[in-house]
Amino acid sequence: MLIDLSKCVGCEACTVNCQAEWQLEPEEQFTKVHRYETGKFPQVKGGVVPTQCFHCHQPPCVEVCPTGASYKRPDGIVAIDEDKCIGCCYCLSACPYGARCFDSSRRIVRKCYFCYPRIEQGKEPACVNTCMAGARTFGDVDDPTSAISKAIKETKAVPIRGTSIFYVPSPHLDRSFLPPDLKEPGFVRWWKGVIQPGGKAVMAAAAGAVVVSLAINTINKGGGTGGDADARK
Amino acid sequence: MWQPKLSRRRFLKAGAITGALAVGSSLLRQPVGGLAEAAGGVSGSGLATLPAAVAGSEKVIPSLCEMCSAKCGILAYVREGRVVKIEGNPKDPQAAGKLCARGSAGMKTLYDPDRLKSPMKRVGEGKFDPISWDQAFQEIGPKLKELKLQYGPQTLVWAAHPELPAPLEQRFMAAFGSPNYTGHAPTCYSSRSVAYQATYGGVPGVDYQNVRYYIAPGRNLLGGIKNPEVRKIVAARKAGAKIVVLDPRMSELAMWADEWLPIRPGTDGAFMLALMHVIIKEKLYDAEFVAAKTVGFDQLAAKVQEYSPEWAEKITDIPAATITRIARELAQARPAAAVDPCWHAAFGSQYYNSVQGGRAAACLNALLGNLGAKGGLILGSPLKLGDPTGVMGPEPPKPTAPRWDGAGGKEWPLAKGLGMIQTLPLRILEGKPYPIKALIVSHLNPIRSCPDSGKFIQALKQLELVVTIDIQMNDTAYHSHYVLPESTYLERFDPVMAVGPTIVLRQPAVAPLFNTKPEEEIIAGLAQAAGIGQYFNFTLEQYNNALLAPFGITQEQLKAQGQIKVNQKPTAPEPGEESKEFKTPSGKIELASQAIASAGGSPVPVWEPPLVKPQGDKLRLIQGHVPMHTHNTTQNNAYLHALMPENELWIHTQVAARLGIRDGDLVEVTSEVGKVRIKAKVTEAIHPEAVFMAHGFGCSSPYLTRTYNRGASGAALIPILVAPLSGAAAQCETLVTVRKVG
Repeated sequence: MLIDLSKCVGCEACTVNCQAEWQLEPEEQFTKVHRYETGKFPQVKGGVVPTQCFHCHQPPCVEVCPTGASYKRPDGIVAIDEDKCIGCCYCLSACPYGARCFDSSRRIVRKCYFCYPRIEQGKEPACVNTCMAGARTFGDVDDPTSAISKAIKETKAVPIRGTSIFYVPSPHLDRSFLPPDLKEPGFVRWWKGVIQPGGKAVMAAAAGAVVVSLAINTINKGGGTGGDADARK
Repeated sequence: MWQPKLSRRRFLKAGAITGALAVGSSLLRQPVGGLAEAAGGVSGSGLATLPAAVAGSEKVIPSLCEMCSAKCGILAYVREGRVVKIEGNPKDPQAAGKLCARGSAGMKTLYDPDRLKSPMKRVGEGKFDPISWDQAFQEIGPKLKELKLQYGPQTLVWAAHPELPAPLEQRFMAAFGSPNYTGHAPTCYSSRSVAYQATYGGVPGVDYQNVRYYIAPGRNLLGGIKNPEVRKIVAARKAGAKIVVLDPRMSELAMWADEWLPIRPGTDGAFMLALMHVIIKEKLYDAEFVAAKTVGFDQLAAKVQEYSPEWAEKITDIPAATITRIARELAQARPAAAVDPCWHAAFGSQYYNSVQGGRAAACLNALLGNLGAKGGLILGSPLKLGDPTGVMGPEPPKPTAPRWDGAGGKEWPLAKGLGMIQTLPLRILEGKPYPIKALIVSHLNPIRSCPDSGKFIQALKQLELVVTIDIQMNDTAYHSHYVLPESTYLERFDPVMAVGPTIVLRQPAVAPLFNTKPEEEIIAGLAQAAGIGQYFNFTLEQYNNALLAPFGITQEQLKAQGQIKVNQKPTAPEPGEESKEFKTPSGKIELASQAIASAGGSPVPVWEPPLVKPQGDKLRLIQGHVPMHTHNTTQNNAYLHALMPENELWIHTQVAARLGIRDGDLVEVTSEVGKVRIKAKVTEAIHPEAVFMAHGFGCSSPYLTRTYNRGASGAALIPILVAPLSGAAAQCETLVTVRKVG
């Protein structure tokens, strides 16, 4: 998917239309819109950056999933077999983009599926379909004749390396405001090797670790108002 | 891990932690029966839940959105009797298959457990009993008759945000004999309308699709979102248009635009005058257009000599060089160049000087020769629907009493048709010019949309009868004697309307879930009980068929597609109007306006400073819309509430530091009429003299459980003012102090 930030108006229609499409709880959002401001009055600039599942080429979420519920389809879409999900939330913490959400009523993890049931019916994903700004383009990047391949070429879109998402940066924000390229965080490998083979007692400890890591992330968030992409990994 | 640099969603992070904690205690999760079903899902597909708009066995109903007033065509997907998804109708020119966040969230309004489910009668402070419709009509009708007998028919006021059934509301008032039907114009667009009416004889729109240079004086196309306008302005910018935003705050549009000019609040008129100064001095205007279509150029040119960019810099805080550059760029792009007439914004209703500012913008547009040009302004001639009087029964007599607010009278000739709703509490409390004892409110919540909530509530308590027609127990309903529940837009028909050359129909996607009625039935029930039933012996279908008659279609035929494009020849000019190109006294665009002059204003636009001046710790309160909510109507919608549960007070970093306020602190905001508490958003993105609060929060009705008491309402702080010429409420002429309380 290509998201053109020179067009995106930050209206959040994508967020809600997706929620409606997947009948999500209000707190569950497969796609989110982040807002930024930078500079000193009166020289202030700002912009919006929508994010969602990046459908990584080698998804950390799939690697850590203990039940195989998270999987990568042959077409590249990262999906979740919701019947297999036990709600352990490893994936939620392993996701470098914060793209997954916990469905508290069903106690499973869910995320953007690129609306593949719609695609299979020849429709566009809900977020693309509803976008007033026409900021989103979806398609097969391996097909050089597809609309998205042409759009990537025309707009000189920035690929988020290791993922399936491209952005046209906002004219007001530099590359550092875009999500970083995928680099598997070290703790994911550690988790996969150390925690997953263990029994349920170990899993409980891991769940505790998830809580701690999320709490740390939340606390850290307060300071992240600038700097380069690496500083935020 | 990548983290957003600045996100309004800390609450989501907190939610994730809570979720993870819940997991810790439920690792040995047992399958929970019925959950997939409860979520509307289908099991056994490799995914537990299928998305809404692809699963089989569904109906798709074309209709018309009402999550805001833009009137986008929608497709409602209905499965097993439930609306599961709403999408934009690709065949509808307003929607073009797209829908904003609010439109997409429509079914959460339909299925909101806090909805009104039956008529309610007040039985004590904040206490209501459900009653039958019969009881409601049989108690309200005789009371109306009694009050009419005692005080005359003018004792009844009907206050509305005029929606599709507005002509029926107006007919009710005419039949009752009262001149006092009043809309929301003074809190929205009165000054803009007066300015453009005086200059052009009508209010033009902007050709957003083709504009090459666009200036938005406070207009926030991306905050007060209208789907068709957003699509067009995005396309225009992609095609190379330059978008310039004048706004004391970095609004959504300002953030996205090519250039944001953080102007001192209330000084947009000075900026416009200085642009004209440069354009006339450097002869950059369309001389041919000016000579052919306008009157008063010499007077205007003489006046704007005073208003140099250097003069304007001192007033607006925008450097003189920037003003000169913008003037040249704007003129260079003409006629595909436009200054937005605005709705709310700088020239809508917000400042005491909005009419003069709006007039300056209207004259500036005329100098650009952009009227009727591709990429300029458009004076539309709306499609003329059929005449329904044939099916409606007798014509009501003209009311004899004057309006309570004097709109259209000797003192306020230009406020005709706009009214001065903000003065209603004062007139009720004073009993002048005559006793007002009864109020019907529909599609409106004046306690939070009009100034001085405290005064409004005080006035409502003086009334003998207050009836609110709405889909939810809003603040005004909460202070009413009777609350009559209207069916939501997904459950009812409405009068058809024309959008450009297209006629659109609102029709039910599902039958009413509760004991609610469409408004025409509520009006007819009230009329019958109030002794004026003879004016309402027709059905909505008969009424719609009369409106559709010139096009050879019926409501029944319109149901399948929900909209139809029709052809209509331009109508002949009204008698006496043949020689007039513009509906102004001179028949031309009036750079010097006779109408303004005869109402006591300067015939050419002049600089008038705003009414109040921020000084020391007194800051100017400004307000505006956000993309995920509409006025004060959507805050209880579950999806939209999750996106933005409360508003914040934007305050400049240095001002906040001086007052010891940090981002996220709870602050108390105090004005001469009230005080509220709200969280502070400390930001560089606002003029230091202003604080900003998004409109629509601070609900005081506990019946709306999600939004009750979340955020704050600017209406509690704004004093009741009446701006010159237009009678607008001038809401941004409010000074406040801010102090940290938590």
